Amino acid sequence: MMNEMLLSIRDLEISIRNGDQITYPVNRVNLDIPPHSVVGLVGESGCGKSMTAMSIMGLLASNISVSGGEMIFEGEDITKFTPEQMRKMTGKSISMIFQEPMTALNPVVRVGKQIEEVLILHTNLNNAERKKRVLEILNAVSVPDAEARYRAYPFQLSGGLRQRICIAMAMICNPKLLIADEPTTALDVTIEAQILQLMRDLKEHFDTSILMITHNLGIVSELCDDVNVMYLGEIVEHAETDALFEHPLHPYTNGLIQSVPTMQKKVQELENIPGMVPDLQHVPAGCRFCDRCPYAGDRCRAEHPDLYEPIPGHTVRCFRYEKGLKGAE
Amino acid sequence: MAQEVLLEAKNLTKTFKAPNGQVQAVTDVSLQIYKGETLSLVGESGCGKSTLGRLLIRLIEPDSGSVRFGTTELTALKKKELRLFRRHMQLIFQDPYASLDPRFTIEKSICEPLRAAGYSQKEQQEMVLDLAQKTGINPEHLHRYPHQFSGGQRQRVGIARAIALRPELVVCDEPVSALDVSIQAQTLNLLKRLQRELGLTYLFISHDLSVVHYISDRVCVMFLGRICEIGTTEEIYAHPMHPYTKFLLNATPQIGKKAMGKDKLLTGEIPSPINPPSGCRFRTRCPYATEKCSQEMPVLTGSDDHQVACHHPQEFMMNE
Repeated sequence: MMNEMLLSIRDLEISIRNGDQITYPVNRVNLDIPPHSVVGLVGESGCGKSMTAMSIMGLLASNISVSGGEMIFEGEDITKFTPEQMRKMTGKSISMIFQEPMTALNPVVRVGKQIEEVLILHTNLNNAERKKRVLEILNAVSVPDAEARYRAYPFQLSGGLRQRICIAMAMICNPKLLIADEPTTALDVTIEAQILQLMRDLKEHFDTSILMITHNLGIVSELCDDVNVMYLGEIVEHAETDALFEHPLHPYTNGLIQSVPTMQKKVQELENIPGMVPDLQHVPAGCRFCDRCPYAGDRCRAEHPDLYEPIPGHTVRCFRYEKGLKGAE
Repeated sequence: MAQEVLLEAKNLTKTFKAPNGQVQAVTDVSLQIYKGETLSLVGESGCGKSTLGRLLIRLIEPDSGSVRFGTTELTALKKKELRLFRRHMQLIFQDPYASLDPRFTIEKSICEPLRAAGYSQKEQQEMVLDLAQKTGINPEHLHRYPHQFSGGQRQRVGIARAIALRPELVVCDEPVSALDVSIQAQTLNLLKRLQRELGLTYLFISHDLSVVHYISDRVCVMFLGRICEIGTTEEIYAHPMHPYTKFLLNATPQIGKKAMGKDKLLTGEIPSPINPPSGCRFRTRCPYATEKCSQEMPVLTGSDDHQVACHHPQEFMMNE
């Protein structure tokens, strides 16, 4: 692609050591995040989407490590960063919000002080300036009555407000990239809509790119510019959002879309994907989706498919598209 | 429609004690469930939908009000009678892991209601195999423990146990919320198939309006312990009359739907059920609220197909 990517992940491999056993929850993942965009990363539990996000932030547990590939952020490979360099980057250039805001906040520190910690780490502002900045950001994320909330403890706030506090903390240094890992999954639907709207506003206002990690295809459809679908540690399809939903290519993507009930039309029975995701010790030899795929043939069970690009900008990991769109007909 | 009423609740009220007052979980709720239908209760956290579900099968005692199940006055049954009556009404929980005994094999868990109902060992074994087959559990896995199962499989066990005694009513409390989408679809299809085959009636509790649209014949929308709107699925989704229903529908992310304008977003947070607003409980979040809404509690009015509790449903429609 012509334009410069903000973050470009190439062949990312993550391995988990468990005694003598090594498993690979993320396998040769490529992911591009252009500037000023919202990129979706979707998949079911255990597909490696959160693991990918955590690796960008350098937050992997001690027995989990990046064992291959590179992550180029603003021209530098962050997988080679020292802990000191990571500390300088996270919270400032890249920040993250999580699913459960209560566990992401310190329960015994007033939220205003928690947000200020970011400024203490990354800026030289004095006390008064920091407080002014925190109140500004609280207003920017539409926390009502910011002065009073500044002094509140997390337990005194509702789930929606807590998530706004986390977003304020993530946005206060005006990061280039915000990683949002299921940020609305724990929230009620009307509050979820508010938070999604806030994220849209922030993207415009701060010119921040967002990596949106979710299992909810509806959120992807409403929020994201383009989408990556993950299955069992691999990206199986990538396209612009509209293209992906209007013309899904990978049988897994198609199955996922069909599995979601819609409010537009009433169906008698939902299409679904048979079986379930195998665990990492039992990854199929060929295509990782072959055991659940209605089109799987001998080759799928023996060989591992590459990513093909049957339509410009639309890539898919399936042999049916090896020779373009015709093979799938 | 002259449908047979399976369950009728009248003026159910339940308050819970809290350190700083009384939580009005369910206030003056009356509804009917028809035989063979799926009625869904929807609403956000704390709206009282789970409490209502439990009141309807008398898992918790109401402060006031009554429930009639068929010809039996459920709220008048003595403890012992209620125990015997339980076989007609069963419950499926959100988290199948928490609702299965970790030290019981799957077989033992499914057998428990059968044993309680006094079936012989031999009968139990036959019935368990039949239930496993009906719910798609591999009979070879019956000797395993819950932790060896995935979430979707565990929910099948929960379902098998709930239908073991051929109940008439099954209360499904967020049965698919903890499941991944592909497993969710499998489970929803299973519930639908079992309903057809066994003539079950479902009370389906959920916060997911897409799932509710798929599974329900009728929908009941709740806000802070009261019913806002109740009607057939087609009516509620095509012609929502209560502002809250409309906002809920708008807020639900959908494939192919683009973000709506900010003016269609509901502002503010859910008020506390300890001190609910006077009059209409939704009025503090409602853009159409007037003086009347703060003084008078709106009552449910309308046809059997569609009832709404709102002082200004028509005006709301005109503002569309």
